[in-house]
Amino acid sequence: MVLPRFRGRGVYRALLNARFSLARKLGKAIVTCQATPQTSGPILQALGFQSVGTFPVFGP
Amino acid sequence: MDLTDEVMDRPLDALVGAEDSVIIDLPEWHQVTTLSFASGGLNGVARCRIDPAGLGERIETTIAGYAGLRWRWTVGANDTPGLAARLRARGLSERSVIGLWRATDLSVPDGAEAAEATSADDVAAFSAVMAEGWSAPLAPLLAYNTRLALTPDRST
Repeated sequence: MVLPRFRGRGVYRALLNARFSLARKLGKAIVTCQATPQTSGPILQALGFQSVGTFPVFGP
Repeated sequence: MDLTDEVMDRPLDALVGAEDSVIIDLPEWHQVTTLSFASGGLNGVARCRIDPAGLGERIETTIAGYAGLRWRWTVGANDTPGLAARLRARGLSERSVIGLWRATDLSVPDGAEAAEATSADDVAAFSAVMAEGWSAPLAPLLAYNTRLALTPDRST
């Protein structure tokens, strides 16, 4: 979560780097996530993330 | 390695609930119920691989059990056939998530520095950001994040 007034400063990228760094430290070959098609999905796909599919989510 | 399984199921293995969370973690069913998170976040079904004959009744009892709470039901590729159609027919709202994976060789230029939250003040600040961003009450988020900070690493 990056609040609107702090966006555009590289916070999301810094958090991504930290997560990847931790994954490598733990000896992990891949990372996975579930992303929203309208927000984080396109950003992550532009960084080389590949899709395994789109899944429906229901709620009230 | 089944990538769909990695994306949909592995995160459930690492899930840490709130103090009042009820987590049902079975091969055919994964459900979390957290009364203190009425506005969402720790309420939902993430695995449903039950006998199709019991699907209708399970849907109704599950929805009834979430009365007064915000919840979500994510339908995975290996769930009971027809589940999404049944939930859709029930008149529920619908959105979607993309399952993504990437090799861990990523390093992107950044203009900020990430720091691990290690003190009570850090956890309080982190929780305040979540509460503001999600328009959610601060108290349950603070209690949950404090619990997370005290929980041993469950990386999978």
